[in-house]
Amino acid sequence: MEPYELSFTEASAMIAAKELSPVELTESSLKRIGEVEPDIHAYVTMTEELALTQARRAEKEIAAGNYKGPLHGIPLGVKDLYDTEGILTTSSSEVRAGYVPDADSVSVQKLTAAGMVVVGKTQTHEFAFGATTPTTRNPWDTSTVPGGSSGGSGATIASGGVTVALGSDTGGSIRIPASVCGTVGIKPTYGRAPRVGVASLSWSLDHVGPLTRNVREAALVMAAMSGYDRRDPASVNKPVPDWTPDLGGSVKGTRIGIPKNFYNERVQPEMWEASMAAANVLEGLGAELVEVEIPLADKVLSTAWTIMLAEAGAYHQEALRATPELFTDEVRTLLEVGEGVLATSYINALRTRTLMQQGWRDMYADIDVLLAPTVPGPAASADDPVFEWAADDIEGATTAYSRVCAPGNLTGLPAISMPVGYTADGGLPLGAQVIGRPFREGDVLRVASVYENATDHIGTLAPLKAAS
Amino acid sequence: MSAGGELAFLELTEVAELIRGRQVSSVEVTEGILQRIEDFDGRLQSYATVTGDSALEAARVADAEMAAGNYRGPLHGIPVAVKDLCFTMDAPTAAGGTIRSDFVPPFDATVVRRLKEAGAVITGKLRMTEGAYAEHHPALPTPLNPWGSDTWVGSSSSGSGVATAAGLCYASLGSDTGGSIRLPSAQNGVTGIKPTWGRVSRHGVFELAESLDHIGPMTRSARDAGVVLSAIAGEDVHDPTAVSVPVPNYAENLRLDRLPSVGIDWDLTATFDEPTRTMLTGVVRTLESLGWRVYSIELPDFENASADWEHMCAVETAAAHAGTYPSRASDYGPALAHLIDTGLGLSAIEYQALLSRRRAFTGRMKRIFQDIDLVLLPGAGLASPTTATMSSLGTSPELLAGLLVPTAPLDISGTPTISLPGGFTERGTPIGFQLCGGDFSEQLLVSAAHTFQSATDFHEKHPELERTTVAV
Repeated sequence: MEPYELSFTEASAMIAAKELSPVELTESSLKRIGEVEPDIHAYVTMTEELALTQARRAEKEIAAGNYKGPLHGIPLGVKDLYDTEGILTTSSSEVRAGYVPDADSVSVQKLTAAGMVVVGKTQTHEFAFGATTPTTRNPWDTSTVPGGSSGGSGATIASGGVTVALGSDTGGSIRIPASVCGTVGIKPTYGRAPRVGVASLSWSLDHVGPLTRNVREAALVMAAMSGYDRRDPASVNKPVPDWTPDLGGSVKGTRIGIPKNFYNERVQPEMWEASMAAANVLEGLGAELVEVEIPLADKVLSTAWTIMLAEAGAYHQEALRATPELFTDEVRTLLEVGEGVLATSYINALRTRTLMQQGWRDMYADIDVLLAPTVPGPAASADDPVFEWAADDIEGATTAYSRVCAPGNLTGLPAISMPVGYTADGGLPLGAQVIGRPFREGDVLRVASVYENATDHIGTLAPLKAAS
Repeated sequence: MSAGGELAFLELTEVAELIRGRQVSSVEVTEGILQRIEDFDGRLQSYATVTGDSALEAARVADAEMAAGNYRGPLHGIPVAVKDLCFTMDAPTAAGGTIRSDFVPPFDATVVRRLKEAGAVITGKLRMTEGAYAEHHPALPTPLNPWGSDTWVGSSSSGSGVATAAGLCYASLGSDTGGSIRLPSAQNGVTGIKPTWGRVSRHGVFELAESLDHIGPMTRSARDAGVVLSAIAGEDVHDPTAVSVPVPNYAENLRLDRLPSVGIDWDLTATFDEPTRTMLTGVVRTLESLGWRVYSIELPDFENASADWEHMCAVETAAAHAGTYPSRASDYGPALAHLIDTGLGLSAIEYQALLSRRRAFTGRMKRIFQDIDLVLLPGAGLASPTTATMSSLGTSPELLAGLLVPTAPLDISGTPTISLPGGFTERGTPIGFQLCGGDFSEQLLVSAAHTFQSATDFHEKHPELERTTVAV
């Protein structure tokens, strides 16, 4: 067994016990990435030198008895939207082809301070404005997309490159690649983790969080990225609990909401069935399933897109004026649409969102978490990324993927996506999301970890051969 | 005792004691107020609708309840009037316009319902500027300032200011989006509270700009304002933005736990006119004589926040009026039409730049109160301006921004504030000042203002009224 194949928990325990050197693990990680990168293209930039320097430092620190905790010496992929000091940060866009930040984003600062080792910058859909990541391929079938926008992070975890990679989630961009690549991905409560130094797509919908191979490291990394920071105006001053004691607990009496609408509409049957099978597993372990109605479901797409287009338009306004030709046609078109959104449309969308949040709050009176498919279907074809619901009903993959994730962003509620099965034809991973109450990340992590222990769906690497 | 003379100018709390002690009945007090409205309001024009019959009926019910030993509290049997944007089932709610002149809402606004539940007698609906913006509708009467007809009456809760100052009710409700409780409070010499945003439900209150609108009391003393605020504040299932912070009885214990610290920004103060500065200096002297510590502080940029206010408001107003503007644009007056046109022309991107500055300003404002209990500001950017000066208010952004410097920024940040009289101009017209505090510090504001009013008599001065001229 190569070190990269070790689970996070195994590797972390061996490092703590000085049975595995962070340098060995990092070298194995870099080697694995190198093997699969020609097929996967998960990275914009590899940072071998930095990684080995950090790994050697970690090795020394641990040898000297200064073990910092379970993240110490663990390789990390960083989405290219996150600023990294002295390292190219392109947001997978020609607009920032030469951008080298002079400081780390707060998330990277916190994680490297906890001893993590940055192996490279992962591909994103340009400026996170899309859900397919066209630069990158899905390790489960390289003719398909890895989802997006954190597609490189999903792809490198699924192919064994790292056990943790950072994502950001504005319309599902952590949960979509997690679902499509068969990894775990958590989006915290809005305001929980500061976004300082991360390129914005839509400030009122943006969340930062990790994609991971298993649930435990999701809890650890999410906590390490969290905490009040006044430089992020959305940041909430709330203590960050340790969620690891929740892991592997019980779901006895946990009320799990099963949607009667929205999440089962224009969703592939085996996607829905896999989620319901997961719900049944949890029910068998003592959870109570409660049918719920999703409020204002018909307003989700228009509300999310109005807000996103307008806020992205504001963020990129100067660049769109100065160098429109450097954006891809797809993103330039979206930004131009954003320029045309009226202030009145924008506030009407903000108001609809407030009503939606109120409706969800009422819905949670009867449940602790909601369980639903993460996305409407598995990885879409890279050549033709669409879902065909009927002969005359074809939906682009970006719209389809984010449609089912967007309520999590509009409500700001914590949500985790976990693998719950595979397509019968082709064996592509299928994900389900567990969405919790505000600042109750512990609930969604606990439910996911109970499911993880009860099944063998979580933590599986794509059966990808090394490139010849 | 008769409500015609001195009884009319008693504080709400004082007349409540007389009613509770059965020294005067609610019917007598209400009849007195209705008589005064007849005598004086033909000239002052503070009421859009007088609900005399239902008021007398409510007064009879109140008297019967009290006779049966069922006393509801200090509002029981007290004549109170509400701004004409509060929905009332028994009277039209026109919000200062002509389009809804026949609109009788199917339900009472939450604040009206709560006043009624507290036993208040609603005497009518008070005039206001069109849509609660800057100017009165050209086709409707403008209330007169009882201190002098050439003195600006204040906007937008003009009728609330006039009726309260002139003894045509014991308390009124106003609403404040850029200063609309505080400006008429200052101009008419009454006390008004603009509470924390979210403290009072807006359900059933006609909107000017949702995220800036605040409902609050206008009264003749801080204690009275506390009585009314206690009745109307609190969570409301019909308004998701009304927060569940518990509501104390703001008028019960007015003793300050400790001497509060007060901050004043002297650089900002230097930008106001001479009567305003003189008044503030006098207030500082009074506060220091009470033993309070007054500190020089630096406030965030109030002038730029005030300049941003019009656009912030405009976008929400345009959204609120989408059903009738531009389809019925000819029924709108120039000021409100100008505001809505401005809002319709703004892009979402421009609006976000405003929101971004709003967040920054609000964050800075909140931090001020980590170091200091209260901030002292004037009640308006101009000391008692004349009607002539204010004639172009609705269409002159500079005049508007200057007027709103001390008020609109507190709507932007949602900061609670109390406005009270603090002096007079050479013409003898009142000038007001504000004490503002951290979010949900209304108890401190009421107690502090009460302490000031216990040491001074500005709030006890009343205008001399001219009777309505009756043609013979």
